[in-house]
Amino acid sequence: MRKLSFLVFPIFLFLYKRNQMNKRKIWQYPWTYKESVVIGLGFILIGFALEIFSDGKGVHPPVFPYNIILLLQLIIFIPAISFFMKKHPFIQWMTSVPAAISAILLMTIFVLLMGFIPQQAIPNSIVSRIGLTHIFESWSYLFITLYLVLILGFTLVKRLTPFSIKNTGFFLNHAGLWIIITAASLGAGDIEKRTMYCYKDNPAWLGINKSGEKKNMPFALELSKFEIQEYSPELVIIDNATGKILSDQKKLLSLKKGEKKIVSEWNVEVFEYYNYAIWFHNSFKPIKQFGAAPAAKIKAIHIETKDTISGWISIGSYKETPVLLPVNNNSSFAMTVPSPKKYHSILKLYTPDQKINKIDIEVNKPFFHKGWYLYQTGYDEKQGRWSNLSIIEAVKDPWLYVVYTGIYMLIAGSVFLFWQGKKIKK
Amino acid sequence: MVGYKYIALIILVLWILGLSTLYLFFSRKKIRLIGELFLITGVLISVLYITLLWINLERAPLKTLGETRLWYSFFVPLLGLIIYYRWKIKWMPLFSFFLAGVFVLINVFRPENFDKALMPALQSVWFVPHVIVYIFAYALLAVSTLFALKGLWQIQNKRFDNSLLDIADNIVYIGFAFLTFGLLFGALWAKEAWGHYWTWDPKETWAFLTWLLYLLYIHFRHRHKERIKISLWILSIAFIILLICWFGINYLPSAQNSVHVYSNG
Repeated sequence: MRKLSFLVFPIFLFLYKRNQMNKRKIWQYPWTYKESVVIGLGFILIGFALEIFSDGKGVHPPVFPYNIILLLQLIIFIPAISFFMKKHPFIQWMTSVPAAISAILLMTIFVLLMGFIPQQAIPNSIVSRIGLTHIFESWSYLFITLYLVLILGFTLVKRLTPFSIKNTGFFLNHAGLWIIITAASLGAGDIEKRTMYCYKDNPAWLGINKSGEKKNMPFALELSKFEIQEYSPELVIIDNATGKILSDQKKLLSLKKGEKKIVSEWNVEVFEYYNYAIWFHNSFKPIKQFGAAPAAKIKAIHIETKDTISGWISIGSYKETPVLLPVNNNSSFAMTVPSPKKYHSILKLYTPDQKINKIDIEVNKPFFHKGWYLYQTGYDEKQGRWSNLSIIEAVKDPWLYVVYTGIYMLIAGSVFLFWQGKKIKK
Repeated sequence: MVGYKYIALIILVLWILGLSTLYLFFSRKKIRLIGELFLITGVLISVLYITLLWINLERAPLKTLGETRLWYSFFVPLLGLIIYYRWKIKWMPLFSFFLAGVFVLINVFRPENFDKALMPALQSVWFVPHVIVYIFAYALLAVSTLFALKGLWQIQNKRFDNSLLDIADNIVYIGFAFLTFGLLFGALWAKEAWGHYWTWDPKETWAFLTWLLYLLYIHFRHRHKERIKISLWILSIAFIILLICWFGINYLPSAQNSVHVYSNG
């Protein structure tokens, strides 16, 4: 497959030459939508056929250095072909609006399919065989992307020679898009993603990739401290046998000292709430020690019968046992698992030159180190707030800055689009 | 949030005064200007309040739902004014200041909601710009759809007004610029939050589809000025896709694992 990358343009030229030799009526220049439809259908059908021949395995994105070679071919051949065949009706057609519209339509059809078909392989189904359950690694999609990239490329070269200031907006939008699509497609194969399990006192030098293989990392991470802030847990009534929540889940009582609310038929007041508590001598004491759990003391008075129940409840931790407060034989007051508000990890980053850096990683605040972005993705959810594991995802994408250049160009182009807009003719 | 009630009252009074002056005396330029001054003063007070809050909290006010609403009530009118001044779209101040007013009112009447911290993935500088540009994109494109429907109705009655699509084009271009901002801000944010700028999350897929359809409309109009009926249909269908992207996602089989479907808020 990789070796085929050298052949893309020769094949392209060959098809074009052959096309010229046996002209049929429909293919007579100038081309219009009729040819666009045939070309589009051709791409899709050839793509489906190739999928069937390759057992629905699809195409994998090229890796270094093949993607660079492909990129160079695009950068050299698009202007070269434009230059030598400027007046040729084929290039004229490639740079026409109908060609652009057909490419956008083809892309729309495929993204629409993607919008409806879950992207998971279904064994022995025709949908999977023709590549529709892995659209973005299918032959059809590859052809459509290439078609779009060529049309955009030829159009850009045509419109920009000679360059005029008036075309700045056009250039930013079209070149930005060209760069994004080309770099994102060609660079996809070079993206590396590794999951690192970082424990306390045990630096992790290995990362696990998508296929589950352990790979050496150019740095090591050791967890110094994992911190989690949680929302206040809530009070619910649960079924003793099934654990199902019986009270109205939309009217939850937030467990904070002094809170009052009616829960089902009970008027409940929170007397005490400790975020970190340990069961000791028949009650919870506020102690922040390893394994401490949130605990609340509540008093509930039945609205009609005025029966009164009071006592402690706790969700427990991996060390403390959960505590329920029985309402009757079948149901109990219970605490919900508090959901995380914010969590972050303080880690030691070891580099091969024996330097140690203290770094802090939080959701939405990745740390960048020598080409790798490090993300906080998880922790040991069983231990929750006492987790001594932090799961870090390391991502390396050498093409990122190329794609970003395209993104920023397109943003700038959109500013132009907004400002120049489409004036209303009076 | 001490004192916000009073600030909010001043802002709202200024905006109501401004909007009524603006629209009651729209044809009289000098009086209209007074109305615009009221509106701008209100916006300036908003930004002053945000600045003071920022200094007071010693952090960017971007952590709670209420704080994001503060930003909306500053940026939505600001962008509304920019669009209004650039393109003279008459309804723009009404839309943006009304929306901003709603955000201010929610903050005043639901103070318990104000301190509700955002879930970790949403605590980002990208959150506010991402949402605001989409508010404008959707509003503008919704209005362009009204023009499309009006056009289809006119065609049905055989009296089509040719200037209609020119106005629609104008609005689509502005809306499309905001749609592009939204999509790209989302991509830049995704890189920070999830490690990749594009993961074909169902919301992304449908947002991209919406973007493609308006792109199609712009190119089609550029070339085929005379094909009015098809243009009107593309514009209408594009908005249906937009609506699916906005609400419909939650019901699609392919979207069950979307990160944009936030259960239990």
